[in-house]
Amino acid sequence: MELLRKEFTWVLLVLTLGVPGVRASLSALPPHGLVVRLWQEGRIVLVSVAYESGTPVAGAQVTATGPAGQEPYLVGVTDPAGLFAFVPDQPGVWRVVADDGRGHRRETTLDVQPPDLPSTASTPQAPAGEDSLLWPLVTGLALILALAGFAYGVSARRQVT
Amino acid sequence: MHIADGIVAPEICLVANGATLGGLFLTGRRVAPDEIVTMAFVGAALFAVGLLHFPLVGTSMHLSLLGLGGILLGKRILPALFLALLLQALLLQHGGLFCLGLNTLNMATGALLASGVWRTKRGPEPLRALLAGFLAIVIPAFLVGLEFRLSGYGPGMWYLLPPYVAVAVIEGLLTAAAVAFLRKVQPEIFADTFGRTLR
Repeated sequence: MELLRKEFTWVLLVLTLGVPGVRASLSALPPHGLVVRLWQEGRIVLVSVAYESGTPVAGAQVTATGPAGQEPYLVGVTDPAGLFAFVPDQPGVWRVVADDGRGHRRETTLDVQPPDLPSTASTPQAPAGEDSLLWPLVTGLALILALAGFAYGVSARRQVT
Repeated sequence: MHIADGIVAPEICLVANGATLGGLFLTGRRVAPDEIVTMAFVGAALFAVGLLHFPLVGTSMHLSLLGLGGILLGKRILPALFLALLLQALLLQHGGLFCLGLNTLNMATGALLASGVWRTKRGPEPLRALLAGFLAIVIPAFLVGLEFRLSGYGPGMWYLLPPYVAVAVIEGLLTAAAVAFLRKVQPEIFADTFGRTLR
């Protein structure tokens, strides 16, 4: 039984290897993926939302949730520079979700320090660049290939019987 | 065009999820082995092409290949598209999981319409391919605008449409070029062997 046709294998090979290559060559263009940075300045937490190319995302919805609450502490939108700021009411790990309204969102956390401590805590930068896209791409294509192989086997067996 | 969770009214998402589930049942049955191969590579292309972005009309857009997918797969575009969108939501955070059915329905409507235009067999083939590629983008974009309006957003949501019209023109031209290329190098992909169950 021929599991995969020759051209199918070639298409998957080209997609797997070619798309990240083309994507890398177009790295100067603004991609969709969001990068969210959080940092604390005194009592204020600042949020910066940008696309992976560095282009600020204006008007992105930002939802901040405190360490204890299930309900959002506040919801707002970024300014034209992609910035948003709020004053947390307690220290602890805060969760901030940014959504550009076009299907792309990123969740980031920040360990907010008590305001009397002269500390500026910065969250780990969200993964950006080609590496962050390569593995999801390869994983997705591999899953499609695996599912197709499984479905092909089931369908072919059904035809034989 | 991918809608994230929490943006559109949940009632709309629920109805669309139900409709998509029914559609998957109707279009995913009795799939021949050859169809699975084509569905897989179209699904892979739909999944991967979403990563190619370019700046357009003040924003960032990407291709979708919905028109070409509709032409090649007919009604089987629905399960292939569903899988591609599911993986995009899980792996790339493109679109929400609760809105997965809505996103699938929006885009599949465009692709199925493209399939219908292609299969009318009226008019020159390049023109049908171009129109199919164009409609496969414009119709889902219109549906997204409509769903935003129904969810209570203002009429400004219609200003989302012009960038999609520009993308639709590009997709139409690409679809016509892809069809011409496939007609030359692999004409059997349009043959009745696929049309047997796809139409």
